[in-house]
Amino acid sequence: MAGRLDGKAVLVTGAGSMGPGWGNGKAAAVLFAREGAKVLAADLNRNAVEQTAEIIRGEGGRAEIFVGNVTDEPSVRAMIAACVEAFGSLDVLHNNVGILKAGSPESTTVEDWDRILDINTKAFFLPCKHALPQMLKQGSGSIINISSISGFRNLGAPYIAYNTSKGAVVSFTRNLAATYADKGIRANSILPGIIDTPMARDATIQTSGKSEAEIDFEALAKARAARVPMRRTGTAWDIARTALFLASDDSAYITGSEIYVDGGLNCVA
Amino acid sequence: MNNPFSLDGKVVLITGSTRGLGWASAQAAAEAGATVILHGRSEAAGKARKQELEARGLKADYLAFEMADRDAVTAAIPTIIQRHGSIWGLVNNAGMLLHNTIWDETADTYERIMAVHMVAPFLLTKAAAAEMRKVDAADRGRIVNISSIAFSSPRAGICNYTSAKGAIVGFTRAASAELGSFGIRVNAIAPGYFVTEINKERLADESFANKIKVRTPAARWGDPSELGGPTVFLLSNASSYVNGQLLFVDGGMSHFLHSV
Ligand SMILES: NC(=O)c1ccc[n+]([C@@H]2O[C@H](COP(=O)([O-])OP(=O)(O)OC[C@H]3O[C@@H](n4cnc5c(N)ncnc54)[C@H](OP(=O)(O)O)[C@@H]3O)[C@@H](O)[C@H]2O)c1
Ligand SMILES: NC(=O)c1ccc[n+]([C@@H]2O[C@H](COP(=O)([O-])OP(=O)(O)OC[C@H]3O[C@@H](n4cnc5c(N)ncnc54)[C@H](O)[C@@H]3O)[C@@H](O)[C@H]2O)c1
Repeated sequence: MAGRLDGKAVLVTGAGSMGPGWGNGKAAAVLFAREGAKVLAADLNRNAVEQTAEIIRGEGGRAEIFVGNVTDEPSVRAMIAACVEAFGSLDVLHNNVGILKAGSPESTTVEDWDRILDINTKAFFLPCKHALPQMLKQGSGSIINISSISGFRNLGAPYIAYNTSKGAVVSFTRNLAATYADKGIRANSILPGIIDTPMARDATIQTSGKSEAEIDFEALAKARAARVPMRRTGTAWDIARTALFLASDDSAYITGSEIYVDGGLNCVA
Repeated sequence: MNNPFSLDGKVVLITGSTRGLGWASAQAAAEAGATVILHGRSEAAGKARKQELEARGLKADYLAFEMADRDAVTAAIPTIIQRHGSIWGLVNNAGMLLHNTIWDETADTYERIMAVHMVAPFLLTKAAAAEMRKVDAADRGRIVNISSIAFSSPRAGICNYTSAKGAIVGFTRAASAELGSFGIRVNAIAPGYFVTEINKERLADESFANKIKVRTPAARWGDPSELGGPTVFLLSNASSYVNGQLLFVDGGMSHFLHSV
């Protein structure tokens, strides 16, 4: 069967996973490859991204890795160049990197504020800035930026800097989409809801004030699922499938849009 | 590898599918493997489209009824169950435009437009969801409602239409909260400006047609085929955790304000 991304060159940032299991970036990279894409899996963490590439190659897919930092301009330039050099083009840019640190407006230090805003906004600004010339040359491209439901809905835990940075993803993406739509370049945001990933586990530990061993993750997962109309939390694969739709030509007239992938969480009182 | 966009073996009713956006969705759903129940007011058009799909080796059937006719609407789902045994997907797409300024508007025209765009989709959703609920599975069905860019960026002279297209968004969100726990997902699509019969007069008006091009970041009207992908996405497992959403398929128009 022909894949939805046959022959396309895809760059996934944060394609590793911060812990065992499936993170959003890792699942997206693997699903894109299953659909025929050539994947450049980029991450700060060599070990993590090598694992992702090995999974892809083990399934008979095509993957290269790039170890680099999406907030460092020379590194991003090299990352884009590596994709074009390896695959001849850059058709899909999937900006997945984001970091999380708990803090209210009062408790967040200026240093933490600067670091989170800096990393989480450069994580989409810099790869876009340097991918656009290549996409303009091609006259086509699809950019997917990972925001979060918490950019617009407070979920109860204090993440003021993170939430602000995730709101910025959407305004950046809308502006970028309006500017480049007539050049064949599309850009859309995905807003994940409560997703079971290693990152979410880490967030729970940060806000609980307890040690990992003391937390009843199973009970917590049940309570979270009960809040969602679909009565389950999401998985990295749910995010990856929506990303696949936005990456493919099936969404050819969709740009500047947001898709919440949250089981309907934003629809309940 | 299993295809997340597959609709193999699924029965899907798409209202207003004898032409335009509904026909585009019908072709895409049939190509994804669904048995598509075509629909419009015209028997002849329904029959012709069914034959067209079957000639391509795809599966189809058709029903003809008026969306404003409550009894006919109520009979639709039982007929499908009788003929095909089950229903997986419902796309509430049939729609029409009736231009009126507020000064010319009457309660009758308002009620007619609400009947077609809101009351009939509600009745179909209720009947279809009741059938979906009977299925012994965790994942039981999909409802897709076609709203419009008019919901966020209306123009003068379509208060009745815009009200109805907003109502269906409220319905989508509320129904998603209610039906999600039954394994039924409800989402909506807001198309921008597409080249279909509904826009015949606007396409013939050169200055309006151009204005839409300038106002749409993609710098062109939408091609009906571009609605097929989004419909199949929302009907299939590809949208596995998307529920209660309004998906804009508008070339970027909803977030763009450019003076002509
Ligand atoms: N085209 C656009 O730019 C655009 C933009 C936003 C939203 N939409 C929405 O998308 C949907 C489809 O529009 P379209 O552009 O594809 O229109 P279209 O080309 O005029 O097709 C309308 C379809 O609905 C059927 N239909 C119309 N009124 C009906 C009624 N009262 N009862 C039963 N069937 C009826 C028509 O068949 P018969 O005439 O044989 O009944 C036809 O199959 C509508 O809900 C529309 O509001 C369209
Ligand atoms: N899990 C959730 O519930 C949830 C909810 C909403 C949004 N999100 C978003 O999803 C995205 C992350 O998903 P994930 O599951 O893949 O997370 P993850 O933390 O498992 O993986 C992120 C990867 O990014 C890498 N990385 C971090 N900083 C980097 C940098 N500067 N340059 C290059 N690589 C870097 C890490 O090494 C890690 O491998 C984030 O944008 C996050 O905000 C997640």
